[in-house]
Amino acid sequence: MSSLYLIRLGEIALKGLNRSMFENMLRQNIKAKLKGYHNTITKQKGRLFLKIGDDCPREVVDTALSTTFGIVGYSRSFSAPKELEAIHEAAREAIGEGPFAEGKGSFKVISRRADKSFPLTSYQLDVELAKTVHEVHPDLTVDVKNPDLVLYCEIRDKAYLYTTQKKGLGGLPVGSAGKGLLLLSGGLDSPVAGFLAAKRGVKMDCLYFHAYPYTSDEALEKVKTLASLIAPYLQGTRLWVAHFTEAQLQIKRTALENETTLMFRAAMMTLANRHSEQIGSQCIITGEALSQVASQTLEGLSFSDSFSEQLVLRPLIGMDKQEIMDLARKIGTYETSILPYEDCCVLFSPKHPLTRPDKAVATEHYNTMGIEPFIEEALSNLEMFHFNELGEIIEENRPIPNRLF
Amino acid sequence: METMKTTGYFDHAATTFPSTKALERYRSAALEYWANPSTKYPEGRKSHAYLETIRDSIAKMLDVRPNHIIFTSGATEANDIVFQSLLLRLSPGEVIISGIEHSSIIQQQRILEQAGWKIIMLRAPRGFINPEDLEKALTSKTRLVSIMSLNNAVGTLQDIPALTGIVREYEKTTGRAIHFHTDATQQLGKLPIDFAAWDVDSASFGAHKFHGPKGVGFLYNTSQGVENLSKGGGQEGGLRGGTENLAGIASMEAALAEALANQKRVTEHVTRLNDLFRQTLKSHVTVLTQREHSSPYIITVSTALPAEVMVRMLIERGFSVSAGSACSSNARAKGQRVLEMMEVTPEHRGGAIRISFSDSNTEEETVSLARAINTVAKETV
Repeated sequence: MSSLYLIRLGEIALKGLNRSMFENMLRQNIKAKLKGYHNTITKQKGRLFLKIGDDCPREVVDTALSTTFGIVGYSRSFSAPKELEAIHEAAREAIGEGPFAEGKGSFKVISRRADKSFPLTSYQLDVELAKTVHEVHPDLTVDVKNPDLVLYCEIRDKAYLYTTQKKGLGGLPVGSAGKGLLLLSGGLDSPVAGFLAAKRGVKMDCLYFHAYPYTSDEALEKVKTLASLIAPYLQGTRLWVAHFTEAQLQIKRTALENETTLMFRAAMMTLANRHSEQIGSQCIITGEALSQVASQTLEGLSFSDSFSEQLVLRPLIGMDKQEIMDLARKIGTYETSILPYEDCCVLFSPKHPLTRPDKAVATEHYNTMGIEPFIEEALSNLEMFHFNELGEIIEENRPIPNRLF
Repeated sequence: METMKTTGYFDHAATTFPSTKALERYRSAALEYWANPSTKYPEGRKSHAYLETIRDSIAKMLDVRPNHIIFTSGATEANDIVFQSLLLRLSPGEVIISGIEHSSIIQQQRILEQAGWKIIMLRAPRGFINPEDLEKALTSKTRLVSIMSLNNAVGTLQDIPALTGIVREYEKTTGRAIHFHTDATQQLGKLPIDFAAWDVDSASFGAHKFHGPKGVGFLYNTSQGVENLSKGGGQEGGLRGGTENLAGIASMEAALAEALANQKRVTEHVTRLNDLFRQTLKSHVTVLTQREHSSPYIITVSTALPAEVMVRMLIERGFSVSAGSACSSNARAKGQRVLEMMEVTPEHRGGAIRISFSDSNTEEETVSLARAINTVAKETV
């Protein structure tokens, strides 16, 4: 036995000649999340139909469809040939489970005909199906204005009946926009930034800068957890860990105290760019929001931008902290992000950071720090954790971290 | 004492390894005296007799009366019993505590204040309560004074007889008894305790600090006014309900007997280690525990590195020590209250780490630890 899901596509359905590219990508993304369960996905204008074996638990399907970008909604459906008796039969199945199962409250039927050759009008079909509902659940009353329950019927190549409409995330299929590198810290912002970039179709790897023993190994574990939490939205991701202690110490030794944060950012951006190029990604994604902290001023962002040859995407640029927190809660990263392991030690945070750097002057300072060998060293010792679409680690690559101590 | 190998472990004030004798006693007692001491059949009576023998034995070791020993799950519960019995009083009054108490006592403040009690916290410059400060804080409403005998964070020792003396004198002027409690968890089995000279009404102890098992301890209590908020089957004179952890209690007794028998020798050993440690430290490491009037078992030092970072760097070198504070600029600095109350300057608070010794530590590893701290503090940043 198998179950059928009707999947609604939003923006993809509006695409022109390249629509099938988007649809195919979405199909692949959904299939990747249902690996191990026999399933087929067919296309019809504006819709995908997923047929999956009943050995697959419904929660697995729900998780897969509710974390995949490109889906605006989906419904567990029952199909029937376009004959009235068969439609009645499918309707009985649809209202035998889900919200109708209890048989209490009010209902209405909404029928829609994509196939106008079907002999009954939508209204006539509504009336026919309402009779079936009454047969099965005599206590249900009709309320066309404000019903508790709705039975939907779509007449297409077949008749499709369903009683729920679950919301999807919207957006575009991950991968359809190309590839990026997300700078992932342990904080609230960067996972949300990754989520939003993925929403617009960016496939991405993540990069974290670790400074053991100045930051604890718990901080790294926290970032791994965050990567695992966003991995389903990102259709899987690789987390790269740059061991940055020596670079940070070099900056601490050589930079002006009030410029240390800016110099860290420049060095991180430099490393991120080189790595992004190596892995074939086209942009850097950060969790920066304008004026949130001292280094996120226009001058500060412009300075760190100047160390990037690639486009820098900042999906949170116009968001308030509260909005970011709300979204973090929604995507499930909030509880992990607020764990107390900080991603930067107080030793490296200047008391009075420079907020409006002169780009030319700061760049000159950066160039005299002798940071280059430290960046190369960190680049050659990257650790990697590969998370699949379900957030599970499927591959680890840990060169013996070249620790100072 | 048969000493376990604990190479690099310098956090014996947090907890330490159980002694072999204590573990053997646990096993034999658990197998032999498994019956509930509150029952009246022969097996239970045998357990009951054994429990009382142990109580007598511990009382004898401490030179106190057996009925003043109430077995608990540890020092935290013993502190709880004394403090929360205040909540059963008809009207709230005042409590004086030192600002360097263990958090199991500091946390009582919120509960008592909610019930209308006033908590007066005494500062402890350099780690010592000034008897004059205590004298000034006493009022006719004072019902409880709680000052720990040996501080867990820095190792300073209070002059308990002097402090109780002040309270007893004050009692004469008002005619009203004031309960004096001391958390002496870090002292028992390490440094001598003279209960007669202390003249306290109650004191709390945990077995795992003197090589006994975790999850067992006792309250020494002479006061009639103490009542446990938590109720049970009337065990421990009604002060601590619940079937007794007889094997744990027996194991604690074995550990205590052993610790007291070895106390002088071990104290001499750790005093040597402490001195050696101090001598090896370089001037860029600040010692926060003064040598006089402090326990040789504990020493707290501070460097320019955040404590948490220093701890991680020492882990890399094979040493386990304790950090009081967090590295982050945002995280609320936990564990800094004691240092603040000791009037340690802010720049020394963030880098404070605690080293605590036991018999198992060697001179060689102590010198290595001091050198490691010297190096790490100097090399980095």
